[in-house]
Amino acid sequence: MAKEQEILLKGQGLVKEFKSGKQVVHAVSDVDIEIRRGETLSLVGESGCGKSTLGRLLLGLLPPTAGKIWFEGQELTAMDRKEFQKIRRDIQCIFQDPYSSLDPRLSVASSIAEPLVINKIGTKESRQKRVEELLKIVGIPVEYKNRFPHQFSGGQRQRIGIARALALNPKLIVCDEPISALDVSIQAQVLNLLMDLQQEMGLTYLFISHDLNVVRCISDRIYIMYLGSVCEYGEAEAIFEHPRHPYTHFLLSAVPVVDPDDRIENKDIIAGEIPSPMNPPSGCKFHTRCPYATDICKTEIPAFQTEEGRCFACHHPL
Amino acid sequence: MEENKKTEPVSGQAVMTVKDLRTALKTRQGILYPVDGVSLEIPKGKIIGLVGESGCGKSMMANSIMNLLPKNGYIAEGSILFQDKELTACSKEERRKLYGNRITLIFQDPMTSLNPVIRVGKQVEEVLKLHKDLSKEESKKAVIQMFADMGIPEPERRYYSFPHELSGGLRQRVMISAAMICRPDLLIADEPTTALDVTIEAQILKQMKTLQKEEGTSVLLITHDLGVVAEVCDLVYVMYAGKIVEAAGVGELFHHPRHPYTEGLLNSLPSRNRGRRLRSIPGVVPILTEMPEGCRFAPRCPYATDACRQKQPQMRLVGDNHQVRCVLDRDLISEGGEANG
Repeated sequence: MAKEQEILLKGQGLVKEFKSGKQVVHAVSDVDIEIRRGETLSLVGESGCGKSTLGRLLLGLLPPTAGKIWFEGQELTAMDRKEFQKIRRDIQCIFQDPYSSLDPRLSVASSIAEPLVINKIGTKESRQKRVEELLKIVGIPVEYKNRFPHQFSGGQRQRIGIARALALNPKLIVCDEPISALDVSIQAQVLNLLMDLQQEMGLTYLFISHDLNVVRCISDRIYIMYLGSVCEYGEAEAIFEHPRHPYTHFLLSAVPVVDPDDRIENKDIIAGEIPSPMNPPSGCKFHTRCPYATDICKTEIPAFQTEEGRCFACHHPL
Repeated sequence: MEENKKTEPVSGQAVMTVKDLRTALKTRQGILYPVDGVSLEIPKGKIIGLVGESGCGKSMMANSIMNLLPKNGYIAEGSILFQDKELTACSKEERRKLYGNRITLIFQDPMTSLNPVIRVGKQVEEVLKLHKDLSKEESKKAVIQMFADMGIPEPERRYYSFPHELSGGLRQRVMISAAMICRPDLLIADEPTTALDVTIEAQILKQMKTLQKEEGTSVLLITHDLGVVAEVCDLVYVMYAGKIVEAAGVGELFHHPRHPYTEGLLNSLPSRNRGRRLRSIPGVVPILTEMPEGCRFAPRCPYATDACRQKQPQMRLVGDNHQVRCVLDRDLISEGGEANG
């Protein structure tokens, strides 16, 4: 791919397996990923496709079974704890559930200041000032700083989570389903906040989501995942306009469209369910559900082809 | 199953008519009304959508109809007429005959609504045992047929499965089988596909709709997902803070929303805001203890006047089958549509 933009984070050959009794869950199998500075990159897929696990690998919350990760050219997977902790300041995260990601016994000011305390940044006074500044940025009245999480609504809690993620001036924020638990009208508020922050601070987002409408609205590039593998990636608009991998096509067409003239009876719906990641299909993992599958799909893993701003791995592209 | 055919609605087209329903909750802060004067009509053979955000009272609506209110809850006023029966005045015995048979319910979470230690086929058969007079073989056959109709692969084998052996999608199919096996007149579906992945959601919605059409079942679909509403519903009721604020046919509602809340909801959808800032609704849904005096949406409404803040607007007819609880006369045509260009 062309190198017009600087690569901030890069993962190569990433594999993550979990042991479950005698069986092995293949959560992420051989994924290459690049995140460019200043972009919003989305990982998309249905539950169990490995998108959250991949996010955790890139955050360093889980060690990969195999593969390497570089952040600004430095290899994270080869670092010792101390070095890693320094870099870790630049990579922060926001989680799905604003109810469980904040400590209920800490006031929001303490929660937001915690990353500063851990990294021994500033004095007590300067930290308080920073907390007030952050609250202002995310749109929470500063007077509320000594309140506790249960006194806030879901949308406000998510804002507090964002303030905490911003405390250390990170370069990359991994957002794992950050708005899935919120109501539509509140979702829009939080999405706007995230987009404003990106513009003002030059942030890079890795956005993990199952909501394709949201992804289309905010992403520069997307990676579509199925059963631990990437099946198509590239420019968001190109993929949404004309998906080449059959799975991408069926995933996109399954999304409920807010158009009363587009009824479910007329939809092109894919049959079957996602196979178990303990025993993934051979060859192309999608062949068990794919209406275009032939014999080669069962035996040979398709290689990536590049075309019109995106890459896809399929023997019979659309 | 012949006896089912006799229960044709007596009073015209509506299977259920809810009138001025007020559901109360006794709490330490006093008596609260999560459902506050709701009227709606469910015509025969149609799918009615009830949409709203969390806390608007839509699930309390379902629970009021199904007599599943929490211990501190009760129906304070209003009537729920099912065919010719007044549900609020039914005896226990009468209700037992109706619920699970003529009126059925499916919930969002299929894991917690199935018994984990009983084979799923047996659980569905239990419904038949309660309401129908069938032999053992007949009921087993009926269950397997129902599983097949709901798109459960290998229905004979799945009959013997335990809930934990099934995926979320299959579990929800089992739940729908249990709800549909007595060929009910009314199915209440409370967020039936919210916990599922999009491809599975689409499969199940399509199957539900096919089955509903064949059987002529009426459905009250409770959801927060406007996309699902647009795809499957015939008529839509929009609920906000315990009240219906707008009711219309699905095409009319999405093409010509008249209530500022409906308009705001549609405009805040990411699919209508490609490549620009989302137009969000400021503020949050009021909590039950702090309901505004006038129009409940007034504190968040961009068009609100002093009159709106003082007096509750009434539902009024603004077009063919189109009702709105707003005093505004302008046609709020959402300029959402395709923002792509």
